[in-house]
Amino acid sequence: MKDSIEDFIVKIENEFENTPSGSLNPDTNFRNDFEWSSVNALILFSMINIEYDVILTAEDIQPAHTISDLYQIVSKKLQ
Amino acid sequence: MAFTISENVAVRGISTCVPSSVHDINDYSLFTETEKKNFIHTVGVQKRRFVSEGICSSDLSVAAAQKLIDALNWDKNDIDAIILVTQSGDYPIPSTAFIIQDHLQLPDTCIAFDINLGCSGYVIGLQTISSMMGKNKFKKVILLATDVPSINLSYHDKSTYPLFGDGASATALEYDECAKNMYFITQSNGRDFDALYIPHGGMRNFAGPHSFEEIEYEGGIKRNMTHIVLDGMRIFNFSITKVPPQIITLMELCGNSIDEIDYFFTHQANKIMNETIRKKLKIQADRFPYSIQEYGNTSSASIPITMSHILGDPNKMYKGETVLSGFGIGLSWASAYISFENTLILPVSDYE
Repeated sequence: MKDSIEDFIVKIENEFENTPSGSLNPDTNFRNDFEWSSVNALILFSMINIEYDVILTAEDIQPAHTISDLYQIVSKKLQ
Repeated sequence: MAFTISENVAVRGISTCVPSSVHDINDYSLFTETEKKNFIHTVGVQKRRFVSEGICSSDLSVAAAQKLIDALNWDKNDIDAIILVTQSGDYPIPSTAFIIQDHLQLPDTCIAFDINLGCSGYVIGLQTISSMMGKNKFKKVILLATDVPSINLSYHDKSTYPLFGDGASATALEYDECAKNMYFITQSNGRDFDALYIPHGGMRNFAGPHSFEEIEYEGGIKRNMTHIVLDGMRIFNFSITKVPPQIITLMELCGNSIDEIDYFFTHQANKIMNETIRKKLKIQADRFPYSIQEYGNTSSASIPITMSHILGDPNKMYKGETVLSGFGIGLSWASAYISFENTLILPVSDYE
């Protein structure tokens, strides 16, 4: 994984209009804290594919609740 | 990989036609205000056009074709073939192209048939018909790419109802010894045919009363078996994985680079999906235009509708190095490199 979790968070914040810089942290529950929906999932999956060349599926992120969980899933796919 | 080159074929003109009835996402009662805003911003659709009752693919196609034949001043007796790419024909049989041939009053010397394709259909239609043209082959041809998906949409399915729109296109092709080569790559994967399909109404599951019973799915989605089913995530992952390498391969095979292309006209699937493809290919936004905001995802008509929307001008001829790319149902994905020269592209017209 080329990015630290801090860099990962900055990239997520840049993608979403309603998440100003500094509003997310590794323990943020993305399902509750920013109106999680299938449209938002596409935004996140798009960013992750462009930045890390990783494909995520709905099943992949089913066990994830926090930004840190997501970071771990992407890191694992890159190994 | 199906890589083909079509020689001595020129695109003379493109005409497109949409129903006049505008449906705005802001009027979609199943979306909350936040969902409307997110959908318009991310998926990119603001409005789309739906046919009124009784209007079919043949009606829109005839309007687009007649306008083009008039603008090019073509003699109908010279037209050797009329081919319709559609997934929403007027009848299960015969091909709707026959009905269009009749309405346009084309001669009996003209061959007519349909090709059952959607998102990739415009590019594969161009590949198919241009490979049938040449010195001892067809000389003048009309390719139609038309769909009316609105007829098979469930109002209670948020993944499809706000996304799709109806539209038609006609493209005139002519044998021309001076025309530059057209390059095509087409690929398909039938394993995922059910990522985008209509379960009932064909011969496998003949439509009966049970086909029209509404079933409730996760997320409050309701539809019957004659409605379009879309697995958006599967299509998204397929498209962002398969399309960028295909365009890179196309550029390599025709000895061109992405920087030399004036425009990339892609199937208007979904803005976030298309933007992912654009960013992966590092193409500047001004060379990768959209019409999805105005017309939604119009299936096989979406590439010519985007060309009409951006370039349409009855007083100008288009000249430009152009890549076309369609991807989706099948699953299938197809890209073409075409040097347009002296091509008349008419603005999108409303069906009256």
